Amino acid sequence: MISGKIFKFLIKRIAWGIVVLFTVATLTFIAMKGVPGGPFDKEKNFPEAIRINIEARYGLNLPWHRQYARYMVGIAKGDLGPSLKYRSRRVNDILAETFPVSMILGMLAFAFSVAVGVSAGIWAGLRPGRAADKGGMLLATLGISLPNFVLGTLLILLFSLHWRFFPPALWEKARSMILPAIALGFGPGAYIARLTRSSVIEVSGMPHVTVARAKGVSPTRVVVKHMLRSAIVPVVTILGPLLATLVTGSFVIEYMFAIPGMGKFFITAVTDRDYPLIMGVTLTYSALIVFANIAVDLLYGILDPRVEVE
Amino acid sequence: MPLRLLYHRMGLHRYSKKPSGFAARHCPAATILLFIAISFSCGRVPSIPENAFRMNIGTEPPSLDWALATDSASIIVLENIMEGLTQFDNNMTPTPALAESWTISEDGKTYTFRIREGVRWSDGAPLTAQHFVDGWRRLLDPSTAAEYAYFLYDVENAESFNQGRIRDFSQVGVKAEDSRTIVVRLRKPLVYFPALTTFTATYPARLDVINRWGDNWTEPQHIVTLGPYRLKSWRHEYKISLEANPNYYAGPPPLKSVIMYMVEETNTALDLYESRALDYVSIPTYAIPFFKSRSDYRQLPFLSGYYYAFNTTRPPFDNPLARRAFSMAIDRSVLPKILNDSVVPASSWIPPGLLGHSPGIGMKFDPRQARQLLKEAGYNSPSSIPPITLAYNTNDTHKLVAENIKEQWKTNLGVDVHLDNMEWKVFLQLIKTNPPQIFRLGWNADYPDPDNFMAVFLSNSGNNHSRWANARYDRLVGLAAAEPNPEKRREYYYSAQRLLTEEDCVIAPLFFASLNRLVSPRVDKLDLNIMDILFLKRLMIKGGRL
Repeated sequence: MISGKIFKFLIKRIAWGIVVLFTVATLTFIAMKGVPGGPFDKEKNFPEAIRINIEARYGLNLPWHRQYARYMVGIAKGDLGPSLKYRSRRVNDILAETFPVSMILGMLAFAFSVAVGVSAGIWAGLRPGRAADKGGMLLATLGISLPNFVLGTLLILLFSLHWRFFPPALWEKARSMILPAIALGFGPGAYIARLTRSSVIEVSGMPHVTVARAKGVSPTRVVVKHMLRSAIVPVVTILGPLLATLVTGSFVIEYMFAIPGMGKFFITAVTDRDYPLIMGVTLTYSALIVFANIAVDLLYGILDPRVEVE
Repeated sequence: MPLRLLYHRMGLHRYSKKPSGFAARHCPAATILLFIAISFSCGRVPSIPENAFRMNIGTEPPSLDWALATDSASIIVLENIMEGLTQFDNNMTPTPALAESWTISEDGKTYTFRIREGVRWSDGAPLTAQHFVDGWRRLLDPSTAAEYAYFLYDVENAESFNQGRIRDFSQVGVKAEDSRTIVVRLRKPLVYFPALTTFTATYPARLDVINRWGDNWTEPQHIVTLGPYRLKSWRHEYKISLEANPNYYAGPPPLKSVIMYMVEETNTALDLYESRALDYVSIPTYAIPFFKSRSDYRQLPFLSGYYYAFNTTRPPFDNPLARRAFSMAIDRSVLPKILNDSVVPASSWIPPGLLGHSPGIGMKFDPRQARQLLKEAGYNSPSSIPPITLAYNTNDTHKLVAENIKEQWKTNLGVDVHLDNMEWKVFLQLIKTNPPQIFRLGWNADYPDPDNFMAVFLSNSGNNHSRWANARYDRLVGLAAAEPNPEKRREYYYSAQRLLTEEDCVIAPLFFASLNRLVSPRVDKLDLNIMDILFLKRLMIKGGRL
């Protein structure tokens, strides 16, 4: 049941979200038009007459304000327009085909990072200063500082070329998803581990935990029931944006493992100057960030009754 | 560095025979991962499909609409699912394909093609001459906005139609005289016209299919083709599967299927090849030394030239003597060394394998003479030369070459050239609007005729960014294009190339490129050629493993 307060909060946040997306679209339009070079600049030039035909076909000959209006009207209708690079396809179709792939990979990486991060964090947090804590946090620091392409390379090297457990790339069976998911999720997992650890240490000194222990509640129950609920709040804060980042794909990981996701378009759409595709990926990412943040704010209220929606 | 190489460098191959306990002893994290690995692994070596050829085309084909396709990934697919009037053989001579024969009028301006009888599209419809007329009309129609419409500009009135100056297509010089005869009228004689009709953009079109499905007509469920293979499936950004066309006019190909992956990262493609998931990959220049001595390595020349062009309007290169001095101060023989023997040094412009290739032309390395030329140009000392910028697009190979040549100019002429690298599209914009004094460019053949290379530097060419216009050059290249006698043609090209690379020295050609590939031993009859056109209709898989 949604209370009136929450409903009002939701409406307000969604309205703000739309304003944010509109601003993002406008800024993206200005930025991409400001970059030198166009989608049809190629090493092999074609005659001017052909350039005129192409620009007319895609409305690139119109003044800026009219091109902007066209984009905005299209976006409002949910039509992101034709791709300028993939000339027989529309941006909506491209995103519809590639986003689910990035989403699966992102969810796997997300699950991996949360599962590993939270459990390692609790484990270390309950043993502050001991060898397990030090070792775990060293690994976490390594995970944060190791770029995912280095980790990906190492994983391929060991598990594909050396032991041949996994294919080095491609997106065929469940087996081919493991290495990219680990490479993608390891960094965030390490970050979550550090975050959980400090928060567990902080919570373990709190009066309600001491009372629970004094009452003779079993150690597992103390952790799960009394500590985790408040210890997890700082972690939840980053989960929304993290999920949005992971499910929209990673250029490096998709490139390295030859995965047909949308992550690569964050780079290639720009180098190709494929304006509608740049707009498409930027808006998808922004929309996910906006909605993930709303979801996180709602989740706060559930986890910590002291937090109230405003 | 590809993983495999890294792997060898790190000495890890020494452990490859040891049990996996290595991980358990040395790396606790690896043990966890290993556990996941074991739980998922079922069979360690990927299964190799029989009678299927698996290759990497590097990227998603931007379009399989042959009127719009301009890139190599799309073209490699199209050349195996479609055909044109003519097709190159392995010597790059146009031979009959959908046209069984053709005749040329005495003035060299009218070509009459006779269509092969009994050719059927994949939906069973017979091929007619009208399909070609439809295809060419669509290519030239301004609303199609096809980049390669200019391939047909030498057909009478085609250019005017494409520019919207003529609306009536019947005035364009292509007609279906009957269901099997196409008559093409050119605005000037062109000896290489049958080479143009090999090109994907000139393929016949089925307007009924295109109109029915709109932009989606190239998807596997809609597309109608007539080549040796059919488009079976297309998972965008990932892979394309082709299957043998049982109704191909020359009989179905021996191979059952072709799988084309779109692996952009060359290291990944090499890893896949090494793990037997691919049968054919290209090798990046830096990795050549690691594969050079292997029996599955193949190298062959590629019709591709690489050059530095001078902006002939900006000092000091507004003076031909200065241009000659700079070209002469380059020792091109070092280039193969820095590029792992993947190139052939060049001082002339027409590549080997084409009529008119004359390696003797061009500025030969002579630092003393080069310094003398610079003095004659009025620059008595290096300090009197205005600051010079050499621009190239950001890329490892271009960087290697530029740094080497910068050093050579410093040593041989005493001139310090500033290097300026930039992103590709920014670079293209710059050389179009305000070319720097020196800039890098290359040219890959569209069709295997010297005209394709020489026409780049015509006064009205959109690819000539040197701001050099020379009526004599234009005349020589024009004469050569219309000259049926090979000897005379060669003479025209000889003089034109001397003008381009010696007398006026507009460009300093540096090298001709090569193709470097790994081909699995289970592959037989893979026809590699200097155009990098990959016809798979003869290809066979021997079976067995690497």
